[in-house]
Parts: sequence; structure tokens; C-alpha cells
Amino acid sequence: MSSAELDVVLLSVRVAALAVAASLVPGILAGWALARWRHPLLPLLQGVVMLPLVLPPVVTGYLLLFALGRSRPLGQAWHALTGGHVAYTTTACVIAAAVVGFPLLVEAIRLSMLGVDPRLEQVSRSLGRGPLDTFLRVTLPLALPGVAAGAVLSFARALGEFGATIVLAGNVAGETRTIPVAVYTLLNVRDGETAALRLVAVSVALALAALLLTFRLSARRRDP
Amino acid sequence: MTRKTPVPALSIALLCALQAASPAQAQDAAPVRVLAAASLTEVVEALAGGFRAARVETSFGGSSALARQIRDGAPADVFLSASPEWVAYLAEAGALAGDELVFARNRLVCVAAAGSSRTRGVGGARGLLDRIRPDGRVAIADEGVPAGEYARSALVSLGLLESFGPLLVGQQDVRAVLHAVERGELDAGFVYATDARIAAVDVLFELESETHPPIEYVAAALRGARNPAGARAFLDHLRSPAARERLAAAGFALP
Repeated sequence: MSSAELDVVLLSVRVAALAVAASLVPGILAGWALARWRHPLLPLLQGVVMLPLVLPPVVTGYLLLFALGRSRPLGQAWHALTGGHVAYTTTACVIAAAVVGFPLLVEAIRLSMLGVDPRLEQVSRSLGRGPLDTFLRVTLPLALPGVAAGAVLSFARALGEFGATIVLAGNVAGETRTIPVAVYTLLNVRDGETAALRLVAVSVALALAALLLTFRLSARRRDP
Repeated sequence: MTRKTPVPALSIALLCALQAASPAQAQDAAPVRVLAAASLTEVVEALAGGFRAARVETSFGGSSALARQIRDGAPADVFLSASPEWVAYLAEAGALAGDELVFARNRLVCVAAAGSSRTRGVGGARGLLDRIRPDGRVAIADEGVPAGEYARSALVSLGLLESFGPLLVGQQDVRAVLHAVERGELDAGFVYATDARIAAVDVLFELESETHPPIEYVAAALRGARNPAGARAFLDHLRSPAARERLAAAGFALP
């Protein structure tokens, strides 16, 4: 593998890791809310959270570009705040990957929180722990395997993100050219196929490893 | 009973009619499928409209992507490439029928969204770089796509490719470059002179022809054609005075 290809792989891993890191806290909150809250509008929230899973990623990317593009109000607000841009930067890759991976993270967390016996939380409350304390010391530790499984799954999804990325982040060598974008680019290049195949192999290996890890984590959740 | 008979009877009649009609019609109406470089979109649509020998089905994209599709067996009769390179690639792959023709030439320019103040008066590639560095972004067609290859060669000749590197945003074809710039998503972009005429963009400067290989459009009849006679006729159509006039009107130079 050439150093350019290695850069592509490292960028992909970095983007996916940042995407998961950025979505972990909101993901836990959303998963907990969807598992514990009772409200007639809850299915709507769930629908919005799950939307990126079923929307064509290109549509998700377009919506994000519509919000965050360099000539759009939010994009310009970002520019005023940070002096930088979102679209066509590594930040854009991270945002696209985080949004598209978010439903997988939330769903895994929601399911594992549903599996936590509410009576344990009640006992904790009756012994004088506050709601936040109960959440941090009882609910979250018990749901942790689900959180980990969701994190790994959304990491794998983030590694494979193409549709939203190509729209929001484009194809900037070294900055937004992740594995899928690099493979797509190499297919346009004469004699690019061997390099494409090497990246394809890395991609398959990473995805498979992530899936196996998810299976292990979910198995542990079932038999504690 | 009697009420039900018309449906099967009708469908049988319809089937017979279809069967009788289809072989002959398929022969007559086999369309000429033209896969053409994105920069040719409007002019080839117009040329297809003026082609009488057969119905023309067009599809447009980067010449690189189209060439790969043709090599992999996509149904196509004629390939109109923005670079001789991808025609040579298909020749090596044994996908050409033999009839080829250089039918147009083009120039390469750098454009910005119409009225954009950031890049006004940059003069040339060096000036553009100095103006927008470090957070600016310039759209360029992807590696392998002719418009991207010409632009990269020009930047190499100018000794600027490395400096431009981190600013370049790849797009799948030259029209994606054009529209991203037109929408104001990117500060500038490298497109053909003919593209600049059809969008709300300002030409900042031209990349001189000495800095890149000549931009030649090559038409090739394809070996896998389902309508080989139609493919040859379409190439002849490209040689016709009417077609040349139309290409010239769209801003292409003629060989």
C-alpha cells in the first residue's frame, strides 16, 4: 500500500472515530429518552432520529449542504464564529459520518436501555440517589454493552459513508478523501484498479472486524 | 361467463399484436445510444434532435466514467469523449468499431460565481491562489476525468499544483464543477470555455493552451453497438456542415 493510500485509510479511521466521539453523548441521551419517556410525540422524535438510516445518503448530504454550505446562513454563522468553513473540510466529513451513523448508535442504546429493569432504578431512587446519579450509576453501566455495540456499529457505518460525504465534503485529497471517495476516484483513473482493490480489501476487513466486534458485544449483553 | 371472456380474449389479441409488431419495430427503431462527455450536454442534445436516421438516446457524464461503463459492457453505440486518452483506452480494450473522428476542440478557463467579489481581478492562477489561500476552495474535475486532467497538467506546467493541492475539491465531471461554482459553494473552478457560457459565472482567466495537452473531442463508433449503421450515420452527422455550425455556435473550435 502506498503512503497516499495509507493516508486515506488513516483519514477514514480518524473521521469515523471523531464522528462516534461527537455523537456519543447526544446518542446516549436520545437512546435514553426513546427508551424511558412516554409522550404521544415520541414516535415523531424517533422518526427524526432514524431518518438518516432510510433517507438516501445523497439527500442527507444535500440537506446538510443546504444548511451548512459556504453561502448558507448557518455556514456563514459558523464562518463568523470560527473563521473557518464547514463544507469541503474534514469537519464536513465528520458531520456527514456522524449524522448517518447516529440512528445505529441510538437504536443500540435504546434497546439496551429497554433491557435495564426499571425496578433497579426505583430502588436506587428509594435509597436516596438523584435521577442523574441513578442514570450514571445504575442505568448507564447496565446499558454499557449496548452503548459499545452501537458505537462500533456506527463507527463501521461512518467508515463506509459516501453519499452524504461526497455532497457535503466533496473530494479533497488528504482532507475529505476517505476510503469510499478514494475508491470512487480511482475507478475514474486509468490503471487505478489495483490501488482501488487494495482499498476495497482494507474496507472489507475493517467492516468485518467491526461487525464481529458488535456481535461479541451484543452476545455479552444477552448473557451477563 | 360471457362477461369474463372479453378479458382473456383481449389480452390474447394484444399479445398477438405485440408479437407481430415487436421484431420488425425493434429493427427499425433500435436507437443510437450516445454516451457523451458532460461538457457536450446541450450541443449533443441539439445534434440528436437534428439527426433523422434513428432515434437518439443520450447519456452524459465524465468521459472516464463513460469509458469504464462501455468497457464493462454498458449498451452504447457511440462514445463522444472529451479526451483522446479514453478513446485510446477503449481501443486497447478492443471496444471500438474502427470509425473515429476528432470533431471539436475547446479551451480551459477558471470561473467564479457571477458577481463574486472575492476573486475579482485575480488575473491568473498565481493571483487566485494568493487571494484565496488558505481557506478558499477551488473545484476541479476528479483525477482521470478529462477536464480535471487538463487542469492538473496546466497547474503542473505553472508549477502551482502542489500549492493548489489542499484547496482543490474534486467533482465527478466538469458540469458538477460548473454548478458547484455557480451556486457559490466554492470560490472558483476549472471548466471549459463552452461551459462558462451556459451558467451564471464570470471567467477569471484562461489556462493557456501551451500549459496542457490539446483539448480534443473524439467521436468513436463502438464495437458493441446494437445499431452499427446508426452509429456510423451519427459520426457522419457530426461531420456535416449543420453540425459544425452548431458546435461553433456553442463556442467549440473546429478541427
